[in-house]
Amino acid sequence: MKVFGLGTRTAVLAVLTAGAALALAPVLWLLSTSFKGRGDVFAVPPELVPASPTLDNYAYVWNQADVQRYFVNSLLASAGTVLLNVSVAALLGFALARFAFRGRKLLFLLGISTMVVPFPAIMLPLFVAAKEMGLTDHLLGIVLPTAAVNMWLSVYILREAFAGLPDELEEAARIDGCAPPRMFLQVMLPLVKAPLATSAILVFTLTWSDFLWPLVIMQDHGNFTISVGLQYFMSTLTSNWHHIAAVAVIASLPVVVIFLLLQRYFFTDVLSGATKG
Amino acid sequence: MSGSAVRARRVSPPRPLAKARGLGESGWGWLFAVPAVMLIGGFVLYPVLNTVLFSFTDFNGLTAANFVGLEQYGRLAGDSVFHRTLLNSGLITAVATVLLVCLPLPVAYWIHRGIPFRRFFRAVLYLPVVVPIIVSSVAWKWLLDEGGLVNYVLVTTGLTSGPVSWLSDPALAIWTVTGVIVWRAFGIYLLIYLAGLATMPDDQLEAAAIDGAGHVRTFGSIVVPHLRGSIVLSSVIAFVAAMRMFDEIYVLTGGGPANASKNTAYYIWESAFSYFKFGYSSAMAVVLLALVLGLVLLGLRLAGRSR
Amino acid sequence: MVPTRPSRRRFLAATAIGAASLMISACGVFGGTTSEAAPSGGPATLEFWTINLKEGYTPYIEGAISRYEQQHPGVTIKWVDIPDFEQTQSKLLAAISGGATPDVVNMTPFILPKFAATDTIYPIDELTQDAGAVAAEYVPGLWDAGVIGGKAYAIPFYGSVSALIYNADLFEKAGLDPAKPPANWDEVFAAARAIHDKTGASGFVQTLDDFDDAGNPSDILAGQAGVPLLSDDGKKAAFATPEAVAHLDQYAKGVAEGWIDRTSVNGGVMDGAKILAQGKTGMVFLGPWILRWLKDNTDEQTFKKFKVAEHPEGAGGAANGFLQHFAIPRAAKHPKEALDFARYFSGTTLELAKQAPVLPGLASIAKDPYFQTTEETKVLVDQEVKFYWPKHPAVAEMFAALRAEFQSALLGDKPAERALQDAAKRWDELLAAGS
Repeated sequence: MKVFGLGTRTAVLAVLTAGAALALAPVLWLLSTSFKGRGDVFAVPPELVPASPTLDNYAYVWNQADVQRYFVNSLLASAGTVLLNVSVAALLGFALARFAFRGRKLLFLLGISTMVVPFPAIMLPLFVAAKEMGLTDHLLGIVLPTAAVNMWLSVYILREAFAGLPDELEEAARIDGCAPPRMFLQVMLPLVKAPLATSAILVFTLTWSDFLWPLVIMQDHGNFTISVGLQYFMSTLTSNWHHIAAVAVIASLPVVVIFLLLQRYFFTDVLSGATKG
Repeated sequence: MSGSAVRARRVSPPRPLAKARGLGESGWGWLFAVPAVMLIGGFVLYPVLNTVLFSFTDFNGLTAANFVGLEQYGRLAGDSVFHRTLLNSGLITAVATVLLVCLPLPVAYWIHRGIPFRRFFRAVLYLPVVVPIIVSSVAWKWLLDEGGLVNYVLVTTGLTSGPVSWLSDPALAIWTVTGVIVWRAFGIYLLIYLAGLATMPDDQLEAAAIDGAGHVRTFGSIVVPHLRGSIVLSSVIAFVAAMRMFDEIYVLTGGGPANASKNTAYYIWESAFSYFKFGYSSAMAVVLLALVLGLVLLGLRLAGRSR
Repeated sequence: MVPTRPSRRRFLAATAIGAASLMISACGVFGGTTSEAAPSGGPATLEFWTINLKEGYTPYIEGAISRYEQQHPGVTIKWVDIPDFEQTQSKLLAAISGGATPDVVNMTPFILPKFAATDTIYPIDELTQDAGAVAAEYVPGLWDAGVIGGKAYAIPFYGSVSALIYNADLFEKAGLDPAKPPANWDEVFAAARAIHDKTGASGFVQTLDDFDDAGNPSDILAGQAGVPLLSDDGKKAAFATPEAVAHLDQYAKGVAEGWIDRTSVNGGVMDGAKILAQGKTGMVFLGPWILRWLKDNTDEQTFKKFKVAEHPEGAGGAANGFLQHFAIPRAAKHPKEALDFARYFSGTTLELAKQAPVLPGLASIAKDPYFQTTEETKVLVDQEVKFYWPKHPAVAEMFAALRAEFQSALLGDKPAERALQDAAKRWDELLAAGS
């Protein structure tokens, strides 16, 4: 049975295609620029497909300004942040959803409201705290604060997810003599894979994008991340566009690949299997 | 507060499980909460409390601060730029939140119901989320400026008579940055809705189909109610993200022209790190925090009442 | 490559501090940020911050550093390059609050006055007996830019002077003589109209950002219109004069009629450069360093069209300049060595100038015959240079206010006269507040 009739399908496809084009346009444009030679970037009319594509830009930036190092640092920092953030958020999300513990409402309210304080407002005291803990020039200097600052996002997503699980599940587990830690790890956690993946990719992207904090907390060039490294190419005196485009593509590629590899987890319907019936 | 979204969908019956294990609900709850509380306490709450303290001082980031009482707040009351940024924050947040909560809903429905090429659309619509913000913002800046590709297309196809000043028209700049946020974040909300739809039993949709309900009715009477939790979640995330938004403005307009696209988050950054007015910027942050806290409480009360 | 792991105990301690800090122990931030200068001599590690020189100039910086280290056994230089000017402030402020201060910092004149006013950087005369002799080594205009309240606070590194960069092709098409570029502002406006009428391109881009050699509002008012920014006692804004109004009116008219590019309103330096590279405007007023960028971003045919000339003469009499200088924070651990290194480094700028046309701070280098070899370096050393901005701690905020009012005027939202009056009012408030 076709869910959508021909007319509806055509209309919907037209809308989606337009949306996809809009979503892709800047990305494709960057991609195209990254293959352009030095004189083609400002060609009038603009070239959509480079007339004489070249890999020179990639060769240049890949060997420039420690891009490879930044890249590895970004991977480590983002992966570490995601692991810490999601695991800690899952614990709290579980607690908020499944235990009526005292102070819960206050905790939730405090969390949600501090989340809106713009980062620049807390950056200075945050740096002082991190410095006192010996976190400058250390990977944890990115991981701990970034995981904390984006904590509530994941907590909120996961709390919703845990709260949505049926009570019967808990009852059944209890009858089996299941203690809360086991119930969390073995019964409930496997059922919230999709929200876990959602939080993970969001936090990964945010950490990967962050350019202000890694610059502030890291002193040594060798410890900068790719988003900081990008700035070297983008700032006023050096903005050679074909180079920027190439670094930008390099900086985006891993996140895109990770997303494509993991996307089946975001859209998994394992949850519906558990709740059905 | 009780009966609000805070307690989500479940709570009431006593939980013998936890009690039986000796620790009690509060004990277990706090045990699970400890790691998060420590992290948030050290890296968010502590700086926020410092910010609150700063707001009563003339701290300049360089030398020891003096206590000045409510002076900074008094100054805020008379700062027209601050008022402008609050208005802009409100406008950006309102429009971005509404668009981000509503637009992905039908798209999620189409994809869930198996429109052709759904995997392709799903991936492509999510793509802007994973491109680093600073990269996509710069790309948009190049595309949108007076000599950029967008204007080239508009003018050569005759859609507009001259280039559109996306970034330098004060009436337009704020909506341009809002548009770029919506462009970037759309995929997040699509993802949330798709995850929500994945928990919807298929038989409901089948039953609706047998009843002869059209897409519009199915969407309105089954899908949207089912996604209520996801919609609340989306609203909260979109609201918070839009309030905090900084990177796009930093890259695209620098808050201009004539403060037309400057939001409070940007003004806080500017006051602190360009003007060395940490006391003042902290007071702004506190006012923003108080306003949002008020809105959240109000929202929770309304959400609680409607349940 | 990957940062080293702290010991387990250290991490536990860190977590404990994190938890304890819930009790609002704000001592770290509220505590003093200055420390006594350590006795000099012996082995020292100097932390050295530059702005945006890593990409493209790393061999120059690292070479200069290693030569210094060879000449000074026991001294190690730790170089940190910050990608952008605005971020230098964030990083520097955080570093100072956290007590992780560098020894030598590349600063711009937009933040130097604040550090001087708060006494968080050393006056040069506290670090050396013969400050007068040091001063005499530098180009006077550049040195003066670091003199605040009669005391010098900075060692000039390199600077730049605004020049006229123009598209000879568009000049020809507009019937103008490319060999005789406009020499004053009436000629600039006339040429801009001609270019716009004949070719459809805009006449020029003049952006309003903080780069002085790109002609921000201080140049438009003080350099071009010849209006002093401040009253003689420095306590009041003095720029809301009929001359300034007339000049700004020209700008508003130019934007409205299209012979001044609209990018001027809210674009940055590089947006203007892009318009020039695309052949969509006739002139920009930037330091000759932009030629290096144009060369990297256009093909040879296009690049040949771009010519450089002296900055059109304004009523202010001198071309507008900008510079980078070195300052030594009070919290530096080895301030005397830091000064020695800063002076050494400003002596390496000939090498830098050969890569990008910039003006060296040291007078002896500026006299080097190299600068007479090309047009782009000649305009640097031949023009009289002036730094028009007020050396006031609130200078960044004053310019932000001025820029916003300029934008209103250029967009026609406000008459030029009111925009200038409103800006002057804001300046008066900021000047009265004192910081």
